[in-house]
Amino acid sequence: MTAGDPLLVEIRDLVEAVAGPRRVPSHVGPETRLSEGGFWLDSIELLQVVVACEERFAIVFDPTRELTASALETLESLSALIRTKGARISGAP
Amino acid sequence: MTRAITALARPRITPGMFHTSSRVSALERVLRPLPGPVSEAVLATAAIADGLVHATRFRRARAWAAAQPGVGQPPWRLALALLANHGRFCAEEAFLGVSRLEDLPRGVILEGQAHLDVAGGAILLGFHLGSPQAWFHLRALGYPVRFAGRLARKAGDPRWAEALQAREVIRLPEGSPQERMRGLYHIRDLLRDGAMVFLTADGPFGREAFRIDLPGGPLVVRRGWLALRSLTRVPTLPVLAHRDGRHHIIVVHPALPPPAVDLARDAAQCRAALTPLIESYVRRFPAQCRYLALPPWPASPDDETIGALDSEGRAT
Repeated sequence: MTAGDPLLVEIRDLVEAVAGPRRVPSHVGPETRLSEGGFWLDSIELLQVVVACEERFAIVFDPTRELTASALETLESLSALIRTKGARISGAP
Repeated sequence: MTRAITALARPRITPGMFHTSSRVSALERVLRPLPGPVSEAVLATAAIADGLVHATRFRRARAWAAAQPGVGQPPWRLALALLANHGRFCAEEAFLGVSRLEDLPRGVILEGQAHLDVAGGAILLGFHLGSPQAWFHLRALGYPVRFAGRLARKAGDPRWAEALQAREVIRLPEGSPQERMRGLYHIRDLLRDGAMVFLTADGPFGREAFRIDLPGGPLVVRRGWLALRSLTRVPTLPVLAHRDGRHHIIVVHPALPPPAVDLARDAAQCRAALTPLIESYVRRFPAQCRYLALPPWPASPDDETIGALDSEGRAT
């Protein structure tokens, strides 16, 4: 699903590391939700994902304007947010 | 102390801005102009009456009281004292009878204040035990303490918006994890920037980190503060408050051990450090443990814990 998008793969790996193996859905795709109905991340775990993304991609979020419910809804929406921040992606050419 | 007072040169939060439970708010207009002790006595009596009318409440309190070893009084008496203190603490939560911030420090005794003189940010770790609103009393004493959690704020008071904007208080609202995450993000930034933030370890929200086993039922500790201390590595100072007659005693305890790298091990070492503090508190002030005797929230909204802790609190 995310094989063609290195950013999505990296974010998925970060999210899976926070969620732990028991809460990784059987089918993970860009549309997989971070919280309810997907990885079931709670607020603390979302914070851990956000902080991990900041460190991994050398970015800083504006919590009021950028960390909105819609931006933190799915892997894809988080990926889109990070892309707008000009993230450094290890797998990118 | 002088430096701390200077930092709060413009206090944005005053006693009249606090809201209380819907039952109490029906009486608030009548009670607020009365002297604080009168309001407390009215609500203490009302809480006892409520506990006796709703007999389940009294029975629960009595059952908890019966489990307390060596209190030197019959369980029914301790149960009544619990109910009465619940009423008093409801009055305290709303600061009934307190019209000016300057009046608040009267009758407040702070112990362990040297621990507050920490370099950089610190988590002040409160509990739903004893006298409420310790964070606000510390502010009134001049310490630049910020509060994070559910806010008992009066609807429509525009001063709360200003306090929220200035991050004097940080809302951690119920419901959406995304919204709560934003609050946690702000707390992390404040702690990293050297602020003192008061958080509660127990309460209705968050996954369970560990339990402190106590006679009559456990105190369930949530994970939020553990994650924040792990992310920020700031000192964590347990804060416990109780009433002694008309005095509010706030005790700031020495910092918990520095955060361990592994979350489960950190939870274990915090549990080991907190257990004797909480056990001692409950032993000394059982009548002030209303939320242990009558918890208004489920003990465990889910079963997830950080790793697994054995009966001695060791990470497994």
